[in-house]
Amino acid sequence: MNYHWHFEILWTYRFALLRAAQITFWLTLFSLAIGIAMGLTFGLLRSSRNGFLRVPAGIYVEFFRSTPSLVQIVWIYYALPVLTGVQMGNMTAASIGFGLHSGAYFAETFRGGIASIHRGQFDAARAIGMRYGTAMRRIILPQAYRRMLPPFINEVANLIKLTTLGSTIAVSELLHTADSLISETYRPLEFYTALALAFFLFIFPVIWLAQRLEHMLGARS
Amino acid sequence: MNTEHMKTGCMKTEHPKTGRMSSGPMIEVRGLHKSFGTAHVLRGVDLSVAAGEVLAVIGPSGSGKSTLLRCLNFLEEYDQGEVRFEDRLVGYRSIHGADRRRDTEASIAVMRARLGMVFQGFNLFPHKTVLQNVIEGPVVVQRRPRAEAADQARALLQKVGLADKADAYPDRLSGGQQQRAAIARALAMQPRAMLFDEPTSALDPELVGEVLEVMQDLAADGMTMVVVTHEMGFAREVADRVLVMDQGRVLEEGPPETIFGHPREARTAEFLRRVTHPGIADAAARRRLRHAEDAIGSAAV
Repeated sequence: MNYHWHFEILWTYRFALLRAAQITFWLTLFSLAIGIAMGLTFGLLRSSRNGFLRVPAGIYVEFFRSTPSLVQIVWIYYALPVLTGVQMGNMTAASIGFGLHSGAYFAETFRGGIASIHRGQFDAARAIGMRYGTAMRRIILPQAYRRMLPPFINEVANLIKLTTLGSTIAVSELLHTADSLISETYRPLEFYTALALAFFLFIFPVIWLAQRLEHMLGARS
Repeated sequence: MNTEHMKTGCMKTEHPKTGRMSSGPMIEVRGLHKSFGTAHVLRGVDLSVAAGEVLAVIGPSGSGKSTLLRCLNFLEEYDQGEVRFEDRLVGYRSIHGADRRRDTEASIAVMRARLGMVFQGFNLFPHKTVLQNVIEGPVVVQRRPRAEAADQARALLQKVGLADKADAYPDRLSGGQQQRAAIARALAMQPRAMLFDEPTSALDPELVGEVLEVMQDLAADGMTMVVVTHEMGFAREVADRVLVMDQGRVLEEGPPETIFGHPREARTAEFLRRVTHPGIADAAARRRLRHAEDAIGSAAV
């Protein structure tokens, strides 16, 4: 093997790469915001005793979990405008697509966390006159958050990696930018190495922070 | 308001705030039925509890005691019959046979806030300190000022002997301490009556006494109490009336002297014999007894 590495090429394209990293960051943040909102809403609905709330929530969760995220964003970006006449930007479409997809997983995480809290906690909350929402907010969720944290962080890490699929609808995030630079420079190994490093720098701090948090919360529960 | 006449020994009293005549007992249950799927757990229960009265509910496991108690504050919905608390229907706005209209969540919550409950498993909120547990209801539900609620909470913790544990988390407390904290939490709502669901059943034997003492003090203060219990000593000494449940029905009820001294029903006598058998709480003694019986048995053969 006598491949000559030319990592200096990364320096040449540093601004393009930084710009891409920024886009990946924002795409993650938008998707995460939508995902958490969807997850919390549908996680609560799935925990409901009312079938009219629980069943549709279940359909959303199972549908988005059992179809590929790639198909979902392509569908939202290309097929939705055909049906509704509403055309949205690729960044918006990707955010919504990843938001809905990760939302289904977050919903399961939240539902599991709520279900793991002993039923007596609900009884005790209601016995002092709390209504459902108050009991959830004051008693159940604060306890459930701690148990949700590890699976939640897993989903966040998955979501960050999932954003690379945005390249298929030309969102100029890291993968898409790297691909265009590769076709220009013919240096795939350098750019993919940089890509791996960039994602590691994104994801590892999240996992590290989660472990710290878990440790801190674990001391008190 | 309910104006129908009720056959109880209760005096007619004028409600201090509304001025309305209140003729009923504090808690009244009529023809209560409850099923879980195919299990018919309550099969027509009637009972009434007067203000200031302590009612002990005893009976074998699975007789429906806990379910009955949970129907009183509507933690469990009931299928038939009615529950009244302070002359108001519990859980439903109206009942006409099978046509029953559920009450709003808000007014069920208001009812529950006036009817304290203590659980077998304590159910303290583990993410809050003892003091935070006690002020949670007053601050969040009754919207009383935090400082005032905290003062009241400290006084209550003093009363149940936990003044020094105010800032401890529940997992640092013994079972007996947790249960006393749970009693303080219920009392902080200034309830009109209290429900106890086997409050000492999850406790180590040496911790039972401290909880019963607190309950005895409450009874002496005139608190209206319904106590589901396996502590026959408590039922005998503290209760004004004892109600014996068996297979989802009230087997019999009466003053403790009658129930423990001269039970009318053979099943009551049999149940009492089983639970008050000398040495029944002591496994070693029970083992010795069995050996002795075996010895007698083989000697007879």
